[in-house]
Amino acid sequence: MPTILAIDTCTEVCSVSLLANDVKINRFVKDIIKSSGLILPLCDEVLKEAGITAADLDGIVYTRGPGAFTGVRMCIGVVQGMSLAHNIPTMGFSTLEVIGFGAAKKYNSDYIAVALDARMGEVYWGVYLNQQLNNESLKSPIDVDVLNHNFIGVGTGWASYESELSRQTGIDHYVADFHPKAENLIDLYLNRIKNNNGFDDKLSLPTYLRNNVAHKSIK
Amino acid sequence: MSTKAFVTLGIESSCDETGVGLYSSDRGLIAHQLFSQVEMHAEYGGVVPELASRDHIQRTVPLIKSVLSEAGMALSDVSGIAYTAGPGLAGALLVGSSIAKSLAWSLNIPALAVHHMEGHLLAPLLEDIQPEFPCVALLVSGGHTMLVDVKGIGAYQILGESLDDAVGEAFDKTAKILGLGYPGGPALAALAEQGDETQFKFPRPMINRPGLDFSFSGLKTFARNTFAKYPEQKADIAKAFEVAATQTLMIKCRRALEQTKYSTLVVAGGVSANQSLRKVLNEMGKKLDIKVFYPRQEFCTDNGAMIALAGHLRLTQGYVTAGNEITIRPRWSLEELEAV
Repeated sequence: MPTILAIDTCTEVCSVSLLANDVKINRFVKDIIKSSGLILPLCDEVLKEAGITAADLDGIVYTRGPGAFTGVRMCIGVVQGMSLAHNIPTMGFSTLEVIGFGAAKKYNSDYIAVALDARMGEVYWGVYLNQQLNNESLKSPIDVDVLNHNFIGVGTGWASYESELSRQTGIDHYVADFHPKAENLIDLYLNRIKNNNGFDDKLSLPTYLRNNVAHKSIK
Repeated sequence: MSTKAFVTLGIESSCDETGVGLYSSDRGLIAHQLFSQVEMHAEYGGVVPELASRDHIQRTVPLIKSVLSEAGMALSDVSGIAYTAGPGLAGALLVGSSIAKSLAWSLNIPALAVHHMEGHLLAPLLEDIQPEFPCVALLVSGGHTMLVDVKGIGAYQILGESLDDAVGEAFDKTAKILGLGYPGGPALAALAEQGDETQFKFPRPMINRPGLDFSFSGLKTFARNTFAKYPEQKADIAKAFEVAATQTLMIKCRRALEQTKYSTLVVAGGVSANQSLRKVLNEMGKKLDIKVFYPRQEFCTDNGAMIALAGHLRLTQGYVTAGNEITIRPRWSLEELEAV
């Protein structure tokens, strides 16, 4: 089994998971102020625990966004630096997919609706159906997909826009306090290589979903 | 290359320019490259911090690779990494800091947080003929205007700074008033060359007050009011503005040199590329027997070479930014630095 490091700093939590010698070593910090700055110390900890160095990694798996812009870029920046140092291939997953996968596993359900609070009256939205992420988008809570009560809602959006989301989707069971975890990135990676999809040699880049971030001046 | 040479990789991402430089203890500056976002921000009439950050994350690693390739070196030749940790735009600083820290951690080499303004201040050390310390430094850019008592590397005392707009900001804003677009500082300087100095007399702000602080926002307002009355005389207004701004800077430099009794002046930052400013300061230098030093034109703006150099001077003395946390200092005074 290859040695894989998984990293997430895209939202208000921060986590790493190292797959080495067939064992996962996990760290998860839920602290919005300090979390993302802690990513390298956490990587350092798990590698030391496994008795390896960054040069021993066979691949890096990461969340590519969406999420908080600076958190997304910190995740990507750290991955870019590590990948560059020892020419390590990378594989990025949507934050929504990582959350959806984690929820599907935890609640043993094939029907997950992920909504992350995107501020400005919008959510990062995705429907995780039968182990596939669909409809990844930035939406107003009143414009998300109409679903049904078989679905479980997860993500911070379900706290910020509770009534709008449940009215629109028809979902009455949701858990807002549900976050991405790097250990699930490792499982997603293992699933993907099973389907013969490999690592990416291209530069890791973020997915923001919100791209309208500035207005051109009127001259 | 000697195997003993210490090679520093410098990364700059504090505002709207991505810069990378390589500096070695036996060859000096080996290579450097810059990617400027100026055109992208011009459409918005100013730097959009989020767009700046989004661009840095796409440019930094390709630029590092390109600089290494230009130098014919590999990352295994790099001994330490210097990165701009502040002052600057938080999101932009985080990009360079994240990449620099994770790269250094992965390579198991030291990383050092560099003060952006120290980078500018030391940029004249990239030239063959270098200033000696102590000296007075005039740092002039779009974000800063300050006079610094430089006792040595890292031993800085701010003698005066702008109480409102930075001088570069005043150039850009005045250019905007005159319809010269953004960033219009260089366009304003070009237009001023065709202007008649005797047409308008702009005030020299704060020269009648003791002290070494500056104020440039009134000058910009004066330009706006003059332009409203004389819209046909753009070049003359540009000239009057430039003369007033450069004269004010010169008067304060002279005062700082008299106060410190130093005989060396270092001028750096984006506005140090302004030819009229150089002319005025060179004339003053000649008159007072003061040696004046500037970086070459390409090192006046933000760049990776100056960050590599500033970091190199500390890394080779054993200074390291301890810990693996990614931290930035968007607000960071030069006076907080430790003397090397």
